[in-house]
Order: sequence, then C-alpha cells, then structure tokens
Amino acid sequence: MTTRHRPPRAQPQKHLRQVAEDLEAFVDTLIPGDALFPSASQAGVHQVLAERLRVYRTDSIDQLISTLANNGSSFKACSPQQRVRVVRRLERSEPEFFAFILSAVYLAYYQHPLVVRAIRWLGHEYNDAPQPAGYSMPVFDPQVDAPKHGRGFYKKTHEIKRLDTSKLETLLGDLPRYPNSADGQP
Amino acid sequence: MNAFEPVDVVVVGSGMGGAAATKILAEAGLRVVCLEQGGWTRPEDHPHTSPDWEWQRMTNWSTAPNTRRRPEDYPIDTQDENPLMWNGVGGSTVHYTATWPRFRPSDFRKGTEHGCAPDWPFTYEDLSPYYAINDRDVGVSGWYGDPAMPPHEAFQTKPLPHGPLGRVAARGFNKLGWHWWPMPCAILAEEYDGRPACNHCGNCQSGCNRGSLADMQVTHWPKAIRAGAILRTHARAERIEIDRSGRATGVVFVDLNTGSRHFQAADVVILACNGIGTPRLLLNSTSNRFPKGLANSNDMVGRHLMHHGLAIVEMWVDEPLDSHKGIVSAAMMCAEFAETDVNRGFINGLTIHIARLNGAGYQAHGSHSGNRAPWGKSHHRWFRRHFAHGLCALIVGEDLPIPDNRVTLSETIKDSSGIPAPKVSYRLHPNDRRIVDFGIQRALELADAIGAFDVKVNRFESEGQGYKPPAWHLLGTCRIGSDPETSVCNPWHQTWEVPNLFIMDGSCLPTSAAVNPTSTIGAMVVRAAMHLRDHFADLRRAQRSTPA
Repeated sequence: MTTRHRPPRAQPQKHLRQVAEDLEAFVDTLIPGDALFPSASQAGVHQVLAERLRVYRTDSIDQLISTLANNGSSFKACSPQQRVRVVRRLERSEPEFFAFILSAVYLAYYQHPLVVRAIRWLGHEYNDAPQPAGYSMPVFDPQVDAPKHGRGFYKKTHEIKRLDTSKLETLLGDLPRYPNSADGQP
Repeated sequence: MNAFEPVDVVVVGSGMGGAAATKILAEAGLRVVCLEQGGWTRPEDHPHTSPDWEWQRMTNWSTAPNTRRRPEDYPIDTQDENPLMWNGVGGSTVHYTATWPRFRPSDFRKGTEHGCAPDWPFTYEDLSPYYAINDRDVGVSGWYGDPAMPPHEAFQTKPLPHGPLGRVAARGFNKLGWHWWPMPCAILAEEYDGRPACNHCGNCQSGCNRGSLADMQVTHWPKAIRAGAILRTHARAERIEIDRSGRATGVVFVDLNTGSRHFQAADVVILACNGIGTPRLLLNSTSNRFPKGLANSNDMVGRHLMHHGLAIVEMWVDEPLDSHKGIVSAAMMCAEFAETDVNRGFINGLTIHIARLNGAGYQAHGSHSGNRAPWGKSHHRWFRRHFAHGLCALIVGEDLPIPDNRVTLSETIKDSSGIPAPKVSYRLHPNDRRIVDFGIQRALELADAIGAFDVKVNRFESEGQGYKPPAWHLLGTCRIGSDPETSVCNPWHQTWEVPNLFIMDGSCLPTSAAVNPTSTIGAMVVRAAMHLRDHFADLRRAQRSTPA
C-alpha cells in the first residue's frame, strides 16, 4: 500500500493508554455492539483508525482526542449521552475530518472476521475477501433471464433526419453549429 | 540524452488504444516500441485477497490519480471533477468495469440530427466490422438480438448471471413497459482464449486478478509481445520532436527509475494516452513551428472534453438481492430513452444501467449514492435492513462537445519529472443537466415499480461547486473529423498538421453517446491501425496528411 510514513513520536506511556481508551470509547460510540455484532473496539477498529489517521492525516490523533475532550474530562469519562453529544459536535464542526473518520471506521469494522461471521449468521454468503473463492451465482438461464418483451428501437443511419429543435433555441443558443453531412448545410 | 535505435512506430500509452494499435502493427511485422509510464500489475498486486480490500479500493486503488498518488501517476489540476485513469500497462482497463455496449447509428450522425455536435466522418455501418474484430480480441459476454441495436455478430460467451438483483430490475422495467437487455460486458461468463470465467467476486473496480475481465495485460499484450513489440515500462513521454519539414521524428521520454531522459526515434508516432494525457503531451510539444502545441494551429487540441452526464439512484427492497455478488456494472441496460425526442425538452438521450453495490463496508459507508448507515445505536438495524437488498440505477447521459470544456497545461503544478500537469475545466451544459434530471425521474419510477422501501439520489454535486463528476470517460479532446478547421485528426486518425502523427484513443471521439466508450474506442483504433498497416509504406513517408 502506498503510504506516507512518519516515525511515531515518543509519548509517555500513560498518555498513550488514555489515547487508546478514548479511541476505544469513540469507535464504540460510532458502532456499538449488539446481540450479534461485536462493538467496533471488539473488532479492533480503534487500532486501525489510529494507523489510518497516522498515515493519511498526520498529527490528527491528538487533534481528535482534544476535540473529544468534554470540558476537561476525557471522552472515556463521559456518560453515553455526553459521548453522543460530543460526537455530534465533531460531526457538525469538522464535517470533512469526520467523513474521513467514518470511512476509516466503517471499512475497518466490516473487514474484521468477527463481523464477517456475523454477516454470515444473518444468512448471507459473504467472504473474508473477494478472492480466491468468489461467489456462486445461478447461471444465466434463457428461459428465465432472456428478455422476451420485444421492446426497443433504434434509428437506422438512413432514417436520421434533421429534427426541429426550434423550441429549444433558448437552451441550445450558445452552442456551435455543425453541418449536416447529408447536405453540407448547417 | 540517450537515443534508442529508430523503429517503425513508437506508441505512447498501453491501454485499449495503444495495446490494439501495437498488436496489429507488430503482428504485421513492423518494429513497434510502446512507451508506458507505469509498470505491470501482477495478479497478486490486486487487493482482492486482502481483508482490507475495500479500504484499498478507496486509497491506493482509487480510480482517481489525485487520491491514489502512486509514483507513476501525474497530478491533475482541477476543481471540476475526479477523473478516472490508471497509469500502468493496460491503462485504465486495469481497473474499469469492462461494460461493453456499442454506440448506436444515430450517435454517428448528430450533425445531421440536430447540428449541435458534429457528424462522425464515418457511419455505424462502417465501424461495425471493427467492433466485431475488437470483440473477438477481448472476449465479450452478452445476449444476441437486442431490438434496440442493429444486428451484429454473436458474442463470445453467454451473458453473466443476472442473479436476483437483475431479475428484480427486469420485473420493474417490464412493469413500466420499458426496454431492457443484458449488458454486453468484456468479462467472461465462460472460459475463452485461455482465460477463466468470472467467479462473481464483485470487486471489478480494483481490476481482476483472475484474468476474466478484459484488461489489456491479459488480452493484447502477451500477443503483441509475442509478435515482437517492445513494451518499455516506467517510460514517461515528455514531448514529441519534429524536424524542419514538420514531421514527427520521435518521442522524448523520462525513465522513471533513473530520472534520465531518452529519445525514441520512429517513422510514425501514435499517441494513446487518453483524453487528458494525449492533449497534455501535444500542448507540451511546442516549437517555433507549433507555438500553441503540436497539431494545434486551429486551437482544437484539448477542447470538447466529454465525460457523460452522470447520476446514481439507489433503491432498496425487502427481498434479498445479493448486491455484493457479481460484476459491479452492469447487469442490464435500459435504452428506452437513448434516442433524441425533443418533446422531452432536450436533445440527445440517456441509458439506465443496473449495477451492484460492492461489499459490506462500502454498503454501510453509503455505496454509490451516499446512503450511509447512521453511526450510533441504530447502525446495525440499518445494516440488517439494507445490506444485500439494494440495487443501483446509473444514469448515463450524452454530454455535448463544448469548446470551453477543455484540457490545458497547468501554470502551477508539475509532475515528478517536472512536466506541467494537465489542467481540466468542465461544466455540464444545461441541455445535459436536463438529460440527467430526466433520467433521475425515470429511475425513481423504477424504484416505485419494484416497491423500494428506501431510495437515495446521488447527483454528483458538491457543496459550493455544483456538478463534480467522477469523470470515468475521457473523450473528445483531439477529435477526428472531415473538417480540418474543427477537428485535430482526419477520418483515419492522422493529425491534419503532422502527417506521421496519429492519435488512437478516447480523445478521438467526436461525440460521447450515452454509453460506456471503450468498445467504441477499441473499434476505432482497430480500424485506424489496420488502415495504417495496409498503407504503411506511403504513410511513413507522407509529407501531407490525407484529405477527408
């Protein structure tokens, strides 16, 4: 994968732990678990998000963590209701950054084996990756799939004549005009 | 600067146009060198077996070079669009959808029909035999007998599976009484020419690691190289040189591995760098004789850029559609509105393509329409209801050749070799806006007909910028024609001003039609390259271009 790597800066251990906990709480606010699906952090999404932010949005992890802080308390320390409010605020105030985060989070979540397994439990044939297995599909069956409607037409070359476009002159007035090759006249 | 041994023909670009031209000329025994700024893509280079395949598709496998930013990519200076292109062996056939419809007879006669676009210098009937030759070279799946198209030769394989998604769409079209037909695709439904059938993995937009999809790396290049063609990779063309008589002498290129410059001399130069890359190279090839760029005394190079007017309407139904299985685009096409009917309030027409929605992550992320699963507690409820239950109606409208929609050279941005980037300006004409709006309304009727519980429209509009298309098709910027004043090339793709310089790619199309262009680009190039082959002794020495 083409990346723009930068060596990670040395961070105090305690700070890194807080960042990890805040990121876990953040991704779980975006995608909580339910009876079938794991939460985003159970699928390791916070780790993938951190990596994608580091590679594609240099220094944006600190920016995210500070944005998530709520009146001096860390995101993890917020109540579930407070977390939703904070995330909504981020979504409104930094829509482009938030869109990147959602892309990174959603695509990381649905690539995880636990999530793939949950999709299969819903009854779908769904692979970890498109290949090598591909998917089975019923072959094209002419009895079922071939069109029998008889609809459709095209103008044959010799049938193509100049149309009356006078009603559209206001719409087309700014366009260059080209000759009619049948008679060489515009 | 190192000079390579002169050859008969140097081709720049290895996509549909460059590959077809090289193969035909090399098989005739000519010495042909093709310069390609990227490298080969091996099967294992595709992301198809990686768990993060969907992330890769949006990053290092993005269709947009400005997002992808691989070393072989060049930047495109534009705020108006996100052009699709692949800079590597096979060109953009490495990651296209291989949708393979033909243009219809009226597409070649717009000068006659309404006069707001030129007639082509030949007819559908003239081109039809070359469509057939090109189809045999790539391998096309399809179903014969479409009443909306002239009769033609049988396809190489049966159609790809419709699956439940196609059957539901067909039911909707039937209810509305509209035309529909299985879409011809250059993706194999059966083994052909030593290549395997598609196994419906659903990731065509990152190319095909099996060889089922007609990537020129598997269809043309092995045969061209076997015939003696030399394919020089990581060779970025910088300019075309001319002699005192105004004939092209060859191509200066940069070796991207070393940064050094070289010269490839040839009797004939063929450009096949796509609708952005070809005008860029001509405009960068200035000289005392051609101060505005090569073959550009009439200021036509780079103008009339066309992409198609696009919109997407996605719809979700209660029954499972397996939207993640099978080729992405397109199960079928509706050509009910393809011909001009001025009573609709516009000229030209559109087609509606029924496409699929990719994997689970992409579907949760909004698939092609932006209908994204909400974050928070309702996320999984949305996913259960929508995943594998959606289909995509893609509106493809013909866009007019507008002189101000054009490629020029950027004054501020250069590529990694110091060559000016192309600057692209594009606005959808109000006529073409009406086509797209009309198509959206028809797709909404389809959603109604199939009983969709949710619908989302993507007009490709970005805030404050208006229409900003993905620009999948790069067309028209060095068009062929009968009139040297309004075209760049004659009917045989020979530039009017430089008799041994030919253009053989999407740049040459005078109109865009309302369907994907690659089959037509291929057919045009086969026609032009066979003509060049058959008249090579004269054309290699020509001092004047052939009149129309």
